[in-house]
Amino acid sequence: MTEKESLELISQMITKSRVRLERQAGWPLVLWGVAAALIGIAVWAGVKFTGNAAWYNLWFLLLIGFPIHWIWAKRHTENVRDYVTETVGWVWFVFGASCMVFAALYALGVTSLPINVCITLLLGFATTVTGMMLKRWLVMVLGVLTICLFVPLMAVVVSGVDTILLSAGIVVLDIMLPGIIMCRADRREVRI
Amino acid sequence: MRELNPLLHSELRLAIVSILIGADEADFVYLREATGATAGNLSVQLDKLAQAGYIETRKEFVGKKPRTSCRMTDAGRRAFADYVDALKEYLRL
Repeated sequence: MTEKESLELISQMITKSRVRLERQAGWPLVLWGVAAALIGIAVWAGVKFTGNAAWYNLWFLLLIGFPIHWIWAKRHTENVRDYVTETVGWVWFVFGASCMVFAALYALGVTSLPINVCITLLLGFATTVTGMMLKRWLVMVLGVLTICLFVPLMAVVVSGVDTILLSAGIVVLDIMLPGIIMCRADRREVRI
Repeated sequence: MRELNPLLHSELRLAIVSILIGADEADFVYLREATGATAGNLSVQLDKLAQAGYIETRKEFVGKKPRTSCRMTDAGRRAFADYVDALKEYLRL
C-alpha cells in the first residue's frame, strides 16, 4: 500500500463505520415518530369530532412500542457500539420514559402542568442534543426551533385539542425527520 | 522521517484498527463484514494486533452463540496516531 492508499483506507473505514452506526440509531426514531404522529392525529380527530375524552387513552398504545423496539433491536442491531450513538439512544429512552411518567401523573390527576407543553419542551431538548452529538446542524436547528417557537406557540396561541395536532406535526419534525436524515446518512468522507 | 509501523502498514490490520478507532467496541462478525475478510485471515490479524497490545479481545457467550468483541487499547490509539502522523510526513514530501 502506498501512503496515500493507507490514508484513503483509514478514511473509508471510519466513514463506513460512522454511517452504519448513524443508520442504526436512525431507524428507531423513524418508527417511534410514525407511531406517535399517527396516534396523535387519531387522538386529535377522535376528540375533536366526537368530543369524547376517552380517545386520549390511545396514547397508551405507545407502550406497545417498547417491546416491539426491543425485539427489533435484537434482530437488527449492528454488533458495534460507540459512545455517541449509545448516548443518543439513551437521550431518547429518557425522553420516552419521561413522557410516560408525565402522562401517568396527568392521568392520575397528580399534576396540572400543561402536558403537551412540557413534553414538547423535552422533545426540543432531546432533538437539540441529538443534533449536537451527531454534528447534524439541521437536527440541532429543529430542536432549537421547537424550544423557541413551537413551545411558546403551544403555550400561548394554540389551545385545547388542537395542541395535539400541533404536537403531531412537531413529532414529524423532531423525531421522524432526524431519523430519516440519520437513516440516509451519506458517506461524507472523514478527512484524516 | 519516521518509519511506518509495519504492524499497521497492512491493509487488513489497518482496516481493523480504523474501524475500532471510530467505535468503542466491535465484534468479530461486524469486523468481518466491514472489512470483507475471511474469518481465518481476520482471526490471525486480530491475534497479531492483540499480541502487540493494540487491541483487547473479549470472548463471551450470548445465549448459546460465542461472541468475540474487540476494542482499541490506549497503546493502540497512540500507535495509530503516530502512524497517521508518519503518513502525513511522507505525503508532504
